[in-house]
Amino acid sequence: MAEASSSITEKFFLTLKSSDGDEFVLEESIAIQSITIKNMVEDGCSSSVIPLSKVDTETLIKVIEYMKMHSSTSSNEEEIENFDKKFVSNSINTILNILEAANFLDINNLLELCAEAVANRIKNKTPEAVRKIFNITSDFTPEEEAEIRNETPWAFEGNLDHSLD
Amino acid sequence: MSSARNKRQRNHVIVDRISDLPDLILCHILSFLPTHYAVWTSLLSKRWKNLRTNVDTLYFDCFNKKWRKRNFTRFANRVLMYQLFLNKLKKFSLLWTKICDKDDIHAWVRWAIANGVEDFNLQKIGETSRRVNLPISLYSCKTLGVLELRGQLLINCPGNICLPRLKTLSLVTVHYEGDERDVRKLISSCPMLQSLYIERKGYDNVSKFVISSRVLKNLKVKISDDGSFERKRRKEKN
Repeated sequence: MAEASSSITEKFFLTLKSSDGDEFVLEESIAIQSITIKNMVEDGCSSSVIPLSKVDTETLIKVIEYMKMHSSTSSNEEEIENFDKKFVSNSINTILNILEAANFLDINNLLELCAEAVANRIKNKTPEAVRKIFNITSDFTPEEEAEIRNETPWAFEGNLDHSLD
Repeated sequence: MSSARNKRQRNHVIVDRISDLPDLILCHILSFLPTHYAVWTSLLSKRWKNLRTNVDTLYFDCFNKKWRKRNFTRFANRVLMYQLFLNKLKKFSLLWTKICDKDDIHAWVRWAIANGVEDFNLQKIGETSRRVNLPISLYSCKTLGVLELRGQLLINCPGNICLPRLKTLSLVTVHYEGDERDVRKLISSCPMLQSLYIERKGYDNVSKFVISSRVLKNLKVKISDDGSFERKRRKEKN
C-alpha cells in the first residue's frame, strides 16, 4: 500500500498566485525548476497557495510557459531551441520583467536566457542609443565622461549602431 | 501613428529599471558582451562606471571589430591592467588574427593562467602558414575545467603535462606539431575528461587519431577534407 501511494506516476499540483491576485495551478515537477518554489515545497509551504508578490500576471504567464517547455519529459531539443529564440524576441520591457522574476524565483536557465537577450540589445550600440533604449540618465559631467573615454579610447573606434532596434 | 508609437514603446523602456538590478545580474549581462562593448558601458552612468571590473569574464575579439594594428594590443593590455585585483577569472575568450604578436598572445594566456582561468577559449583566425603555438604552461593549468582551441593553432605538448580538472575539451581544426603522440599525450593527461569534441579539416599532422580514456562520456568527431588528406596519402605512397 505504502509503495502504491508513492508511485512515480502520481502528480502533485501547486497553486501560484501573482501580484495581481490571479492564481495558476501547475504540476509540482514543473514548478520546482524554480529553486525558490522548490525550497518552499521542501519547507512544507506548498499545501496552500504560493504567493509570488514580485511577479505580475503577464510575467508569470510567460515564466510558466517557459517552465512547461523546459520540463524534461514533454519537449525535444529542437522545440526548446525554437521556443527560446521566439521567447527572447519579446519586447525589452517584457524581457526585463522576466529577468527580475527569474532572479526572484531563482530559475537559472531563464536568467541566463534573459541576461543574454539584454546583452544582445546593448551589443553594437552607441552609449547614447543604449541610454535611450533603457532610459538611463547620464550623471557624469563632460569632464568625467571624457576621462572615461580616455581610459580605453580604442574601444570607441569603429562603426556603432545608433538605432534603437 | 499609433503603430509608430507602439514600435517606440516596444524598443525602449519608460523607466530606468535596468540600473536597479543587483550588481550580480548586471555583471552577468556584461559577461555576454565582447569586452570592448562591456568597457564602454562604464560610460552610461555612475551606477555602471565600475561594474565591468567585477565581471569575471573577458572576451577579446579582434576579428569581428575592425581594430587598427597595435590598438587591439593596447586595449587588451589596458583592460588587464584595470582587472589586476580580480579575485577569480571564470572565462577568458581570445579571438585573434595576424595583427597580434605572438609574444602578446603568450603574455595574455599566461596572465589568464596566473589568474586561475576556468574556461578558456582560444582561436586564431587566418592562413595556415601563420600557425602559432601556445605557452607550455597552458598544458599544466590546474584550474582549467573547459578548454577550446580553434583555428590556426599548433598543439605542442611538452614532456610533463597534466590538466587535473579539465572536463570539456574541444580541438577544432588545429594542427598537431608532434603528430599522434600529442593527441595521445594530451588526452591521457586529463584524468577528469568527460566531454571531447574533435573537428579536423584537412591534414593536421596526425595519421592515426587514437583516443583512449576510461572516464570519457561524450565524444563527438567531425572530419571534413579539403583534399590534403588525399594529397598526403599519395605522397606517402610515392
